[in-house]
Amino acid sequence: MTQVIAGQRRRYGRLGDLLVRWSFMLPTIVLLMAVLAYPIFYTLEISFSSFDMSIFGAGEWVGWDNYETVLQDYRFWDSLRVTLIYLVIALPLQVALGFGIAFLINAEWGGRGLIRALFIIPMVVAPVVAGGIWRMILDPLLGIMNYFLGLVGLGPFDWFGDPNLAMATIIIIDTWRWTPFIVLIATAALLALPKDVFEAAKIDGANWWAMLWSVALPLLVPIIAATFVIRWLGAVKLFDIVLASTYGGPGKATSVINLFIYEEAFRSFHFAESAAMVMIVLVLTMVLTGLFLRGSRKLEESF
Amino acid sequence: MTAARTAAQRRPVALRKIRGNHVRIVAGVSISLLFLFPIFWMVLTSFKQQVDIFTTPPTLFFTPALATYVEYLQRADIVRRLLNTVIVAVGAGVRCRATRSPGSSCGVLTLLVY
Repeated sequence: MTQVIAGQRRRYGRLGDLLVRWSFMLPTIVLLMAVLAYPIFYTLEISFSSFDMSIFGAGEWVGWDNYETVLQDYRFWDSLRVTLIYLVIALPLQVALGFGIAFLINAEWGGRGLIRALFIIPMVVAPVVAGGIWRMILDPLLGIMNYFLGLVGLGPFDWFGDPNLAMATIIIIDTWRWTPFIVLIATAALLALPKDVFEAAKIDGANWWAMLWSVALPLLVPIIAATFVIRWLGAVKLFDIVLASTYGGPGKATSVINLFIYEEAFRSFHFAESAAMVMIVLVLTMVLTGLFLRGSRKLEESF
Repeated sequence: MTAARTAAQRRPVALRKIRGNHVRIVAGVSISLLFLFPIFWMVLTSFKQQVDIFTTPPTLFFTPALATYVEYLQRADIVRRLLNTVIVAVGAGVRCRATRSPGSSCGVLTLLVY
């Protein structure tokens, strides 16, 4: 390999060699610029300008005005709070459930493959369809969930009408849809655990709890952390399920940040303010993701 | 404490393991059924007639009807819509093939993109 590179260097010279290398990267760079960098910088430009409807693009430069407006908007803070509540409850719930279920369905028997395959189905259902199914199931009058709960004496719940319950509904739907994804990762992780460590622990007289807590968990920590980061990146984008099931209601109880931005931009046509919000959310997400990645690396090292 | 422990030790290890496995299987299958119920309910509803959908309590047994399917097949422009989906999925797959690293599976990625 090095010989080939050295040969190339002799043939084209140092500059030519660089040229050859960059020319291989060019298609990727162009593609990334077109689909990734351009939209982001365009949004950035709009966020610092007043939006000109007549040319449908960035108008006059207004500096930080849009950001000021947005930061003074209580609805923006409200939707950030709603998103935070959702994340704080849903993420740990999904990761814990995912690994727990993966442990259960990893039990060895004939139907294991079938169960594992069936478990993927919720994940491949389109989000809008998932919202639709759950709207039907959780319907306060005709839904089967209230019927079942009524059988055990739990009063009819207004799943979409009560602000707190609506949040719970969103979390239930999201958990139903995304736990299989974590189960998928966790199943692979559990199967890849080295057997000899467990045998050694058993010989040393470790009981079931000690085996889980002191052997399995430390081995799983890197994967749990990675899963958490992946799921976090998906969860901050929560939009479609809310759109299909509660549409931010009742009031603004489930209006997560993305839905709020979407409404501000494409319903109220406040493009400049929305762009500012997008940039704030983007920076927040990037900072938090960086922190999580750092934290997960620290966790890996400490175990 | 010690009595319980000796009792547990006296019990054959293999038997304990099998029983634990059975508990896991039962729990795993029930949770899977719980997760699959919404799908099942959707499929069931698709065979219902309008009257059966809007009844309280919800019915599990009813005379199945294919009317919805027939109507949908007649009304919807399925071929065109399916083609759109295929174009998007194949596009994602091709991009994956072009840029994939060794050992990665494009099938799974296409599924995830979808």
